[in-house]
Amino acid sequence: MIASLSDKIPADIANSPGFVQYLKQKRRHRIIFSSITIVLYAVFAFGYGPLEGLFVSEISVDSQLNFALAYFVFLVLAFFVLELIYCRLANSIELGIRQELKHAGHNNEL
Amino acid sequence: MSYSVLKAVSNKAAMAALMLLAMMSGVMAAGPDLGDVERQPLNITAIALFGLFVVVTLFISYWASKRTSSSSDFYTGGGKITGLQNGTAIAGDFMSAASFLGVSSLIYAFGFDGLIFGLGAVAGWPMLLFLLSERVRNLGKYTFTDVVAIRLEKMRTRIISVLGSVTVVIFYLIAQMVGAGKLIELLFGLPYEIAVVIVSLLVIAYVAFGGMLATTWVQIVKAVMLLFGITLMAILVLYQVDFNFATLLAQATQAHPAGNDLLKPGRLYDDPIQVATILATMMFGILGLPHILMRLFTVPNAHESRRSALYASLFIGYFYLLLVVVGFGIVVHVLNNQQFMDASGGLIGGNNMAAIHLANALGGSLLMGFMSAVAFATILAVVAGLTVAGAAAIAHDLYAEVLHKGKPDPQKEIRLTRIVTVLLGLVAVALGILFQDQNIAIIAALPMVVAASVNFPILIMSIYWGPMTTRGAIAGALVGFVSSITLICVSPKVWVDVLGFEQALFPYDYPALFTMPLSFIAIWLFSVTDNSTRGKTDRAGYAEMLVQAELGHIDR
Repeated sequence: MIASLSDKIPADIANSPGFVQYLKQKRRHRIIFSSITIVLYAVFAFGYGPLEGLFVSEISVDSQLNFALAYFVFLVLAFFVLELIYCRLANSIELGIRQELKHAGHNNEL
Repeated sequence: MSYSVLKAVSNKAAMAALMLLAMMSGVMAAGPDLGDVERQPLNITAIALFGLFVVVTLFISYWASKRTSSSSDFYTGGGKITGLQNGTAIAGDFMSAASFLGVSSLIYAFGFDGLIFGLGAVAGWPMLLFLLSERVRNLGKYTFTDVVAIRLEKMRTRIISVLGSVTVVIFYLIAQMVGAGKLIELLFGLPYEIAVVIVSLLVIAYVAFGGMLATTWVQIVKAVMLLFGITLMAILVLYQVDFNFATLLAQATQAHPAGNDLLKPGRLYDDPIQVATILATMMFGILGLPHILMRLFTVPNAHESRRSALYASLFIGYFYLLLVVVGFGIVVHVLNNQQFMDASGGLIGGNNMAAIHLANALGGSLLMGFMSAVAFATILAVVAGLTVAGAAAIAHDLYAEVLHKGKPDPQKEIRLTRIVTVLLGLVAVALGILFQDQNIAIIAALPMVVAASVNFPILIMSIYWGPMTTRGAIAGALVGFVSSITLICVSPKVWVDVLGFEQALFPYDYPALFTMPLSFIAIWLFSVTDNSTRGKTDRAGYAEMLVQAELGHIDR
């Protein structure tokens, strides 16, 4: 696929192992992080069905705080932490491809 | 629904109907439908504070107008906005008056179940970051249609994408204007028509002169005001219980007739599929909102685009976490407080006034006036964002790219953009007044469902699935569009509540869980069976697009 790029794209970059590796890493990150988000999100809906018992249970004896409310708070925080990790990973893998582009004499927007 | 029905707090069915209306336009289309409202006495503090906001934002528009001379300036603020600024503006664009008033009143009425819509409003942002923020930023110019059309046949793809964009913007705008008129009538004591005209005139001033730059700063100012206000309210609520959240929950369950059930799922919905389809509509609807996607082009690179989504998520998540405190604070401080009750035992002004009453209870007329002004400012910020997106869809996508094949006269394009902005403002007034007494259930539900079922599938498939062809994109968009409208029409909110039938043909009000997969299937089916020359060209363009999607524009 990469080898069939038109001449508008610098072939040395498009066909370089660095770029292919970069693409694979980005794809892996996107799949992993989106999947985690969707699974965590879907569990909330299960709280109205198969997981209802768990969701209505109180998480401590001296508080009325139940699993459902705690899970809502957890989700909001978890989403942000996932985003933070994704951004860190994206920044780090971009460094490599940016350097490779620079060596090849190209300036890009990354 | 009459106001007397609203007052009947003990009547769960009636209140559920009202709340659903508030939720639909309040959270789904980010503008409150307050049903029939009782105009409140003129609130001088609120009007004075709002006047201050108007002066500041008009000055911003004047400042921005000096920096807005090209289409790029108008649509994207020249692409020089930072990730932090853009993230704050996105939060300002999305967090609505009714997120604040509607969701807090839902928590007040139904407890935990009010958070379903809050979670839906939070969950789209991580997906925006992971899947769209980088590739959309690198591929587009002014609108998401630019991205979809980059490797497909431009004319047909743009026309079908504009159908999705304009539908979302117009219906979102109607929900906003009707909500704005009623909200302002409720909070400020101003007549509905005057409120609608004020909103429209201010938005025209912001957008026509200052474009995206002015819109961005209006949204930033509004986001800061809203976050400041809700933080202050949450602190004051927690201060009353020595910052012990468990004590707040205990007091809330004691005060509410539902008791311990207030904190449990199932008081508003008990069907997991209903909840799942609401959650799906919210999450994927956000990923298809043209005015949100457009904001990704206002930053200089993909790195800043990621930061935009991250900061938007931070602020929106923070807002909804504090809304939990405020919601249960309303139960403790407003419910059963005779100061806020009318003769029949309902809340003065209706349940959507619950958060405003809490502001009064916690900080007197000053805080109440401030939060009312914030609610008004919120509507302006959201409508401004929609107007920019609508102007871009018509002037850029249709005029510049379709009629002039991407080579318009720049001066004519910017002039047309400003004319379209003024026309959109006038259309908004007309629609706001026209739909004043209409049941806007269908209008309010449509934008998010169409965004999730039309815009999102064609956008995500165009940038991640090489075999997608123009034919597949058109088929997917049409199937998503028709199925969305059809299922909404036969849903309980329209089929039963509006048309008066006994039983709905389709049991769910937010059908994106069903319509979105239909759109994906159509894209797949019509793409894999496409053996046309155009189809081959579309597929061949994917590899080239991929490099730009990941690396941005490359100088050779």
